[in-house]
Amino acid sequence: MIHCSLLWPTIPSLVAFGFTNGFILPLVVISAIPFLLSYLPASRPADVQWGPMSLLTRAIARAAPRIQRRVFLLAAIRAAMLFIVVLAASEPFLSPLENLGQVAIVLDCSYPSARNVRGRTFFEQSQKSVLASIASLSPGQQARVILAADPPEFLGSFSSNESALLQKHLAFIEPFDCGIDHDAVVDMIRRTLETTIDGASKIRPRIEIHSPLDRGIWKTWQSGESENSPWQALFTNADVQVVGSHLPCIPYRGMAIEQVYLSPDTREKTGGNTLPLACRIHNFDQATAIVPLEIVCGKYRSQRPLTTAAGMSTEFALSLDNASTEAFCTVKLRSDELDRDDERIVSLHEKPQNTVLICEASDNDALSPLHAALLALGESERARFDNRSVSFSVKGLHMVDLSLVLQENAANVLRYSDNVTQTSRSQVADLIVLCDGVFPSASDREQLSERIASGGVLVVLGGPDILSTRGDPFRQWIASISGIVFNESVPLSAEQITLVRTGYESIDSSILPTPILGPTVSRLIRLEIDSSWQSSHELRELPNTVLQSGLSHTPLLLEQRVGEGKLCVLAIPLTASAAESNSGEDSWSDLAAWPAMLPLTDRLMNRWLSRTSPRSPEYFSHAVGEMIQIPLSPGETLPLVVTPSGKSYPMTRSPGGLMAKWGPTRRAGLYRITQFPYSKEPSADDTLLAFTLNCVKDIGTCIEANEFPPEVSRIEFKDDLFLTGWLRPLNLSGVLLLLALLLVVLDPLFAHILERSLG
Amino acid sequence: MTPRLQLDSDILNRIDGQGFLAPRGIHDLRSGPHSSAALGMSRSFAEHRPYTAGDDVRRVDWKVYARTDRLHLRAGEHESALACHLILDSSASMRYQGRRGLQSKHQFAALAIGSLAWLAHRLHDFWSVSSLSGIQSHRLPVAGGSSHLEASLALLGATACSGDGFWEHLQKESNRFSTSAVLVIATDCFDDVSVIHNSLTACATGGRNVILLHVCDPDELDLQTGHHATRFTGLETDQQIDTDCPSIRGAYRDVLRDHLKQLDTACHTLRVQRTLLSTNAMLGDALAFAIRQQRERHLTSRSDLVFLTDTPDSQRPPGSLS
Repeated sequence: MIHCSLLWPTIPSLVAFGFTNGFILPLVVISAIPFLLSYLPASRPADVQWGPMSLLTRAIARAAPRIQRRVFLLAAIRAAMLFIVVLAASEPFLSPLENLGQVAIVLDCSYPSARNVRGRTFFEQSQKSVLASIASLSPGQQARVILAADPPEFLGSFSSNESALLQKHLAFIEPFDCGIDHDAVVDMIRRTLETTIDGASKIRPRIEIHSPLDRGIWKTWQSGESENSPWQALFTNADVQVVGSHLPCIPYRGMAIEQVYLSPDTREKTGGNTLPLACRIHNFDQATAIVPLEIVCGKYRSQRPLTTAAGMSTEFALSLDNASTEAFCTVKLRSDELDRDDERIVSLHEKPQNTVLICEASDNDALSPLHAALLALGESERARFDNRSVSFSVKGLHMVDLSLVLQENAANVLRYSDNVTQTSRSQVADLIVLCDGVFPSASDREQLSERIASGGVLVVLGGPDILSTRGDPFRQWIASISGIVFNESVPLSAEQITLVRTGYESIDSSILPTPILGPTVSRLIRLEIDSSWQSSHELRELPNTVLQSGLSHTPLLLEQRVGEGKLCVLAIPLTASAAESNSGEDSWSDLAAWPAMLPLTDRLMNRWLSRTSPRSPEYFSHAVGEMIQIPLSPGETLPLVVTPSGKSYPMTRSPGGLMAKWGPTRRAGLYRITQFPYSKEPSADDTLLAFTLNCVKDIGTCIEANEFPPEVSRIEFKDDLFLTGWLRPLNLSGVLLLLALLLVVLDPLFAHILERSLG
Repeated sequence: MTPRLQLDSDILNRIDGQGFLAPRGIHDLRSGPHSSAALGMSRSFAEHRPYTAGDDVRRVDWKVYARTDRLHLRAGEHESALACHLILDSSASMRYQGRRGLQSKHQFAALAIGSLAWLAHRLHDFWSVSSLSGIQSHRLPVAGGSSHLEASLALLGATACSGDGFWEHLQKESNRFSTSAVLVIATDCFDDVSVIHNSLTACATGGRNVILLHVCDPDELDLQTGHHATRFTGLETDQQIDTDCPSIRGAYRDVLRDHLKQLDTACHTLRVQRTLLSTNAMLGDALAFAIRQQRERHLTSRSDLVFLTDTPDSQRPPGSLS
């Protein structure tokens, strides 16, 4: 418990007398109640007609002095009772202070002391209290004045007649832009007080800490109190007294980090590992404040003071060095004036951005369905995107609204017509899609081979043109590098490929009693593996052919690893529009017109770009009242919120979005949002899951921030705002309560005695 | 119809056969203390006194009238010894009736006076009845007989309490009383003792034997009103006093004790017999005791203060004799 003297500024030289709960003291005015009541008529008098009025008059005249004396005594006893009870409730303490002992005065010079309230700062007030303490020293006694900061500074020793000198020194001191290194302060106190602090001297030294009272400094001073810390000796062998500046307090509402984010404007200007951050802090208080903002990123830790204007938000630009190796950093607003630190976690993880090169045969500006789907998945800025939902239309056949969660750092889609090698970017493209009708030249094929061998992915979409004579060299080249042979187009007039089904695809519609609605595939390219190539190469097992024809078991999708890269062949041309598919007999598929097109494209991209690996954790700096944007995989999943304690809470759909509920918590930390597939069956990484798309718009919408308990990002210091063992005063509360109890018992006895004295 | 005082047979039975002794030893001439006293038939002439209205014309000395042409009454020792003046205090303070009193002080005193009148009638004595207050007086002349008793009871029954200044009025009326008569005064004695003293002095003049029946309500003796905060309103004055009864009870008792002491001193000086009658006492016993005391006093020429009440000793005013 902190025993702080509110009797500013005078500190008695021999005895420190103060109140732990000084705010109760004004209640002593209730001691006047018994006196007031004695002057009030107790009740309405009863009317009695009386004969011997002269006797009555004489009796009253004779008894009046005793009556008045009795009333006064009883009122005094009861007033004393109330006074003592109030006094006991305010917990007075009496602490003997050795006049001849050494004195250390610690002046709080940290940043919160600069807080300006109505033209006065706490620091100025503390200066006055220090001067008053110096002036009250006994003759010959000196006080060591220590400026508490980071690091602390020893100002000097001053006696009572040197207060003017101290005042001159203090006039040049202003609060530092730092906090307090409490351990260093304790060490300095120990050094300045020499051996007395270790209990070698019988005279206990006196330590005065002059600091603002109305802030959470005690929280930080408390941090040093442990069994083995140097504080222990300080508390044990010294009388520590806290002298609080007593400015007229205004309600303190603190400040909070509003937003921390990577600054896009300055990112390009900075080079190397320096990472620009922007931080916006709102000061709810009516006073300007200097607060330190601490940035922790792995082993890197920096701190800088920020001056926040009163009652408004202030934006600060920060830079974080050597942050490239870390996935996230923590930005903390540490202030003693805050009840708890405000802390944000900022994701620094920059996922690699894949480049997709689509090579189409069309010369016009119309985008193929595949290209449109890729753009829809990758570019959220497009006007047709409503935040996270895309309206994907294919020439009027079907108007489908899809609600999707878009990936961060979506692929950079480049479009080139005809010759893929016309740009050097093809060498850096992660995924090159050769649409039907695009046949690279020999030089292009050579570059493509190099690219695939170095880790690129080549996707070939089979279509009617690939079986033409123009495509012979291309087919041969494919067969030479992967063994995949394009044989012929297989009509599927009687069998429709039904793509949409929960979980897996099935082309065998005849198995199903009722075909599920899905795209119509009337033809596909029959793909085979060249046996000679297979024998001459060390082939890995062919990837699963997820899409298969029902009768001939012709593979629809083949993947073949080539070098570091991969060659993928799809037997259906995704570039064929629905209109085209309906235009003539050569129509192959209306897949692009179906809702499955976009998620299929997404999943294919994930697969081709190796995104099927588990996602890296993504971190969000969450503040109360702020939307959380979470990437969710499309499909039926079960998002979970995993709290720092390891408990998981499922997120359920609600009108406002996904919502997770849990009991009030005060634990700060990382709250992870993960998702698991609904299906309990384990799925292989290389299994291409087609998916049912739930067109409900709330898929993937954000968690409403107000669904989180407000305390989620707060830390409450429970029961540790107070220190124990600082001052060892003689607490008078018990004695006073005993005295009050005695008076309560004796009051009726006094009343009886006085009653009898009146006859 | 004029209300008539109703006598209590228990009281009458208790005092029957007793009687006051007349002053100046007239009893020596009789065979007993209650020997008959023939009206106007005195055997030894004592004095003449002027005729006043209400005197019996049969007692007029016609010889003196013939000589002096003035009416004088011939008063003999036997006659004066048998006259009894019964005086009732009808001031407003007598209206008080406390919580413990069976009746008001005035009713109690009137019953006592009525009973004594009956006793005088029983002994064939003569008596007069007076009801006095500061603003009114009702009196019946000295007479005897059943009709006089009826008139006396009617007067006592019809008298109401009002006004104050009983003692001043009594002092003025004192010359109307026969010498060597017995004066029975029923009052509450709460006036100033000096006034009482003066009045009693006038009453006791001429060898009259004064018996003071001090009628009190028990609540008046110890200030018991049943309330703490009490507003006292004077019965004879408009004075109002707000006070806390328990707080001043002790002082009241002290004041009352002083008052009674002064009263006793005055009575002792004037050889007045004071008998304290509490309104919750048995009146028959109290009157019998008073009569017996009067006889004893008369025989021993002592003036003892008699306190007659059934009030427990603990409730009696401190210092009072019993």
